[in-house]
Amino acid sequence: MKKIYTLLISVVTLFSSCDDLFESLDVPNENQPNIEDLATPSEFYSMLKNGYNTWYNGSIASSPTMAFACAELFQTGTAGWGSGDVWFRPRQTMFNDDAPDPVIIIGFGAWYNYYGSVGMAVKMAKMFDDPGFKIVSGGADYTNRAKAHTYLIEALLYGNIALLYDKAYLFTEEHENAINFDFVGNTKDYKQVMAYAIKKIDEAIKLIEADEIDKDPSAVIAGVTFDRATLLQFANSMGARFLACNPRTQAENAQVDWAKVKTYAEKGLQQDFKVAYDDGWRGKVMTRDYGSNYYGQHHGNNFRGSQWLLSKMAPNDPASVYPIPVTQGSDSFKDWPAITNCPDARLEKYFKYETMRNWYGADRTTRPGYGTFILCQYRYMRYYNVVNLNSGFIDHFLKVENDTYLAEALIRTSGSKSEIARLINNSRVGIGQLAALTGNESYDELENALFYERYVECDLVWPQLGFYDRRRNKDQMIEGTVRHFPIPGPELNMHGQALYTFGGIGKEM
Amino acid sequence: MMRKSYFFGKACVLAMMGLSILATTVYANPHIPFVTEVQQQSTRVSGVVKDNNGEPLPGVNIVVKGTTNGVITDMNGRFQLNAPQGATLVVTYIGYVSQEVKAGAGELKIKLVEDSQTLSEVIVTGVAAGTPKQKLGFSIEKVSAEKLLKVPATDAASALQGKIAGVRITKTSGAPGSESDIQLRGVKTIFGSSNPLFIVDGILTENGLSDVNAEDIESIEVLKGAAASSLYGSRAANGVVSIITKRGTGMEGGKVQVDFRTEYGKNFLGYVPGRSKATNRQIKDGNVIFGVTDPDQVYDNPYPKTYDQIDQFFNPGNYFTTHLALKGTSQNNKMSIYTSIQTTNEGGIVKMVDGIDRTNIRLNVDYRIMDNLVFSTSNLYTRTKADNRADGAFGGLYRSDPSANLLAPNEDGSLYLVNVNKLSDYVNPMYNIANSRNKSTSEKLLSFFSLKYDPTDYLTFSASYGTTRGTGESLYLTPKGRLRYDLSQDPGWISRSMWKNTEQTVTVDASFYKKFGDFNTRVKLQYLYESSYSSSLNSGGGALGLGGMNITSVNLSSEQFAGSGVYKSIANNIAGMFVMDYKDKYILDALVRRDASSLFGANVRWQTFYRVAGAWRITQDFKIEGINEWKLRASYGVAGLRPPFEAQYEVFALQNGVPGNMETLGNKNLKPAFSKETEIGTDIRFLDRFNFSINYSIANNTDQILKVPVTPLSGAAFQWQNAGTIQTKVWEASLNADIINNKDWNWNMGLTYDKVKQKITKLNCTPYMLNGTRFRIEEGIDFGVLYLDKFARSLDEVTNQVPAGRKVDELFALNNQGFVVKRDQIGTISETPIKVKDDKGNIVALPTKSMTPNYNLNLNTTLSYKGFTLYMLWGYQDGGVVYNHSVRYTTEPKLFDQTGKPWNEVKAATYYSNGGQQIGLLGWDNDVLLFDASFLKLRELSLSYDFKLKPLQPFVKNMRVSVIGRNLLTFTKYPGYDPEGVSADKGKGVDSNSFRFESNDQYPLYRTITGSIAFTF
Repeated sequence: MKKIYTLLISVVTLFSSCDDLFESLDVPNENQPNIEDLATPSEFYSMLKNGYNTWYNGSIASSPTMAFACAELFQTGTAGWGSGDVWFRPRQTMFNDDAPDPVIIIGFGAWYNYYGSVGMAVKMAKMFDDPGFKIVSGGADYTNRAKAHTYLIEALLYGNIALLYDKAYLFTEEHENAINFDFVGNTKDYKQVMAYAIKKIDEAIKLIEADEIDKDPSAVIAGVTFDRATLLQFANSMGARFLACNPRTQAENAQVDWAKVKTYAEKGLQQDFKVAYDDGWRGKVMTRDYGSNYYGQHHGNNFRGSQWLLSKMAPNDPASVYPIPVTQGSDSFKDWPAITNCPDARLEKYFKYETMRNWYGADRTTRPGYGTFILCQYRYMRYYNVVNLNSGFIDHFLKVENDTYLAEALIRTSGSKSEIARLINNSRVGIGQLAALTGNESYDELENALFYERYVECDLVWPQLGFYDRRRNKDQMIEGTVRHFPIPGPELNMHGQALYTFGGIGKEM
Repeated sequence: MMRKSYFFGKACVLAMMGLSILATTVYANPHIPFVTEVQQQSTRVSGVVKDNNGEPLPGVNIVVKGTTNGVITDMNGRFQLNAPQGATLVVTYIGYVSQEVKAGAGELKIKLVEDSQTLSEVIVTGVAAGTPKQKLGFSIEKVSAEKLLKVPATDAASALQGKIAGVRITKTSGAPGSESDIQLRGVKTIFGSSNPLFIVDGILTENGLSDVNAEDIESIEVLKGAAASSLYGSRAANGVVSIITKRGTGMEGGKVQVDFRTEYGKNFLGYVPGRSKATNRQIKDGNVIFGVTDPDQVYDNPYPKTYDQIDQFFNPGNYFTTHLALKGTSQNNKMSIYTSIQTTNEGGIVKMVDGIDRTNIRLNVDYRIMDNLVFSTSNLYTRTKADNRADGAFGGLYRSDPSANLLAPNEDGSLYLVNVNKLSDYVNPMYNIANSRNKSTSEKLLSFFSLKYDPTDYLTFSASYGTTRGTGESLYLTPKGRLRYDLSQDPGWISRSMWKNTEQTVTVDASFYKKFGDFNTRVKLQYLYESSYSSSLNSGGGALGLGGMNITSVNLSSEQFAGSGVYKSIANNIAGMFVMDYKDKYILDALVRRDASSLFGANVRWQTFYRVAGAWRITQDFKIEGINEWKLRASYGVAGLRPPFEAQYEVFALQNGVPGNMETLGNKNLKPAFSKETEIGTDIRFLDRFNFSINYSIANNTDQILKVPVTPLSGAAFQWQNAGTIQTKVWEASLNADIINNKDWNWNMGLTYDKVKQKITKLNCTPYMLNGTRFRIEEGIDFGVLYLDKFARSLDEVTNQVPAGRKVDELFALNNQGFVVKRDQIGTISETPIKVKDDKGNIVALPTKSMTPNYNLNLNTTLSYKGFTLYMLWGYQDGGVVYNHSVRYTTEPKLFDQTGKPWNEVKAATYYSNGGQQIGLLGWDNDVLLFDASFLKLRELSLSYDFKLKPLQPFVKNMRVSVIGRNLLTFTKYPGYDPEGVSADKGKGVDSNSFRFESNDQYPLYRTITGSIAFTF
């Protein structure tokens, strides 16, 4: 009997010591917040950060940026994410169907990235329909500021979708939910989608202007805590960018409301808008490929500079010839000499001469689809150190970009030439140390100088810009280059819409 | 909810304990009427029935001769009944020779001898109690220690390879210590692992079997179908593999036996894929001009010198294992012990890399507290140290130039030239191995404690607690200053991770056994509580403050990151089982189980699983000449699979404190997947020496848990849904024969056959490719078929690529390899095969051949002559394909080599290149890279001699010397390392048994040749 008692005591002790036994079935996911946890006034700024994060990561991700090698402001030696369809010569028809892995299709990543937050942004905007929904912190009422941020996020998402895609599903606060949303009936073209984005920017600006709140209670973008003035500038500059970059052709460019662009740009950024290169803010393709961004591609020598651009920067130096000639049976082109006669100081500032013996693209010149245009003896180094150290800031929207919108608006509206020259000279002289424009040049000459500034100064900072510029200005991309992407095939299939695509001569858009 | 569960569970345990105490008290008190209600003219007879090995036999019939007064033995082989003084007891048990014994005073010790005329295996997993195989209404396979230890496998999973029909085992990597993926009767789940539930001595574990050493295993029971496994409810749709380890209970009182075995040998590589010995670069003065391509671009300029990089990279590592075991029973028969220790070193095949060191310690104890109260415990402690520096090194090896001398020194004289490659900028893989650390250690404890109490001869109560506790850590270091390809110095990188997991089960059950006339009945009720918890913490950083290989602290890095994960699940399960047979002829088995798991959506927490099975032992009714035993059986069962942890939740992409996009929508209605299987089969023993079994099963695996793409407007890209059904049809058969059985000669053979067909029969979502793979999920298609780009082999396939007004043969032609090419490119450097396109001009993914084999055969044979024993295990796979991903990322594979070919068969670089979707045979995933994976393998071979050393006896009972080979020979047309050495992307939920890739980064399977010596003391 003693043994029994000993044993029973042991068993009772054993079970008593296992205090983690017989727990509840309602196990929370400790690794993730649920939407209910975030959809509260106290966590609203976390959701705002989420929205901005989605927009920013989608904007700088390697896909679709790699495709914009087609604009020849940079080059790549790999057809990653299927980007070759867009920049191979001759230009190909873009793949657009069910894909083994949607992430690897160049036209898909941005769509899924941006749309991943559209539903959330609309849901956030609807929260303000409840008059009792207030966001108060430290005694200050941030409700209208938060509402303005929400509208801005909607605008940024839809604005970027409109820039990239020919059509999109316009899901807004008018619609009940995504489940019973009429996708076919609400398929809108890029002009309608951009109009909605501009409307939301205007609503945001109005709210910010009417509100007394100055500084946000916390950062909504890595390294960025907006105050009233900088948020207004940011919103106005984005308005200018969206309107100016949306045209697909030179003809459409002429139809832009340049007066409105001018209004936006006049209230736009007066300093560079930078984002901290923090973990989580380094690009993302769909829900994967974290940290895969354009700047990293330059850092890893997957991207190179473009001889097309260098030939514009140093037109009188034979080393800037485009394309670099290749002689069969010799690899001496890999040691193509450095440019020694470049009037633009930015060659030394932003670029670095480096032999092509380490450039894997140099071995691909004879491959079908590649060719000699991928050769360049310079690398783009503007953000090399930031990526190398995983620390620092990346410019996203330069003041110069805003200046060029204002200058272009003045050119399109026959505005003051001296003001145009002043705006262009800000970077042309201030950074490039080129001869100053006087204002006596023709509008055509001023436009050439303006786009030169955009190519050298702005379009490699946010490389989508090069694509947008070269589909609407005089320096048109080669024949057959897509002007925009189709709605991704899986989405079309899901909503019973016919598959379609772009690319190849005569099928650009 | 928490309260309910908590109190329910505690209440069960306390109720059980209370009952135990009450019952114990009742039994111990002679004044209680229950016990004293004894016929005065009879005497109380008690005893225990064991088999040849001393293992107790449950369910044995004990009948007083000439009466219907009888009982059956309990779980421990014990019985008690009232019988007249001097009566004769008839002891019968299926598969054993019946005995008659005189009832007498004291405990009867009855040993039953196996009847060689019948099948005699007793199954203990998934049934109410130990049950002879002849009385099962469904198929359960059992592999005995005898068969397992002919060639002791390095782990329990490998030990099953080729021994049972319908079982497919694939090593997830060839690296020492790697886990195996086990698939029973084909695919039950589209997404995720097909691994069955593993049970080790009653411990339910998801920790795999790679740590369980084969020498300690007494038997393995394999429950392949849903009916057999339905007792395990929502964890068992993939089946169950139950390991039963050795115990001391088979030893006579006061006896001790010691077994010592040591084995030493080497690991070798088998077939090695070739590389090109010619280049398409120009060669001048005996030197390759790497930067200059020959104008004809043909790989026909022989390299002045190539190196056998396999020889440089690979190393015949050691295989050394030592096992010492002791078992015995105390003189009073109250306590039995089995304990063992094993150490194993498996070096693998990569130079400088140490492989794994594993130590296993086992302690199994059974203690009879009272005649009817037994305490048992089983414990396994494992410690494993692994050197993982070979991870990823194989990719570097394949990407090395054929002419690269991996052993060349750097300019400063240090080993392994960094930038040895000229065709690519991959660093010499040997340099990286020599200049990195990548090690891990893990410790694991599997423990099981149980109490069994038999208050009467027809009731048994038991309570048990099982747990698996694992912990581990890893360190990775790239030292500061390690050279990159461009000879710049790496700032260094360090990362550390730690993890732990705990699985716990508490089981309380009550069993009722009673014989009513000619009916034997068993009823079992069971409550099972399960909890699983795992957590991990990892951190790392770059830009190290110090150089050298001895850095271990993340604090020395300057850009640090950290991450953590916590995963937890809880389940409450109840089950009831009823088994009845009439005169051992007609058997009925029914079971119901209800599971509530935290992994199910909140709205569908309780789910039901069940089985109904029946069997008819024909030869009990009809005597048929030449047929010793013949049974028909049929069953229908439902078992399930739980969703992965995160499936029901809304999941965001979290990084650096920012909740990014929602990745998956939540789903509160997410149920388990169900496998609903009908199985019919028959087991025959005939001509005194042949055993034949055949099964046909059809399983509708419904409510498949799929990560379905949803419109991103919903806020997420995916949602886990119960979205489809996959149907699996399986034929399996086995034939075992004792061909010769006499004093000097013994020869037996076993043959297994299986054939699996699997098809997606229903899909409630838009068809899609499985999470970044080429596996299409679509209603009506065969599962296991890759969807690949297809090269055109007839002009009809490219007519839609011909512009209006032109004829197909004006533009296209078949080349001398049978591919369609552009007519004007034949023989030029631009010649490249053309892919099939749809009418929109897209290259389309089209179905190809299935990765599922047509059928599998395995043959084992043991031939003994006096002390010699020769054992072989052969495996044959007919059909099935493997996708050879490796060749696409190999620098100049043998395929490129054009030397010696007639001029009109030579192709230029473009033809074979990996040039994206449009260009080259090695471009984007295409059907040329699929290869027939049929093979014939000699999996295991051993030649042993048993010495009966008379001078040393009885101290040394036996000494056995063996020569052993594992994975010795493979005959196949597959051009990669090994058609079984495939990998799958676990992160994408792809099971390596269903989807078979050969990846250039994977560690290949190798062969092992050893010698061993074993003593029994």
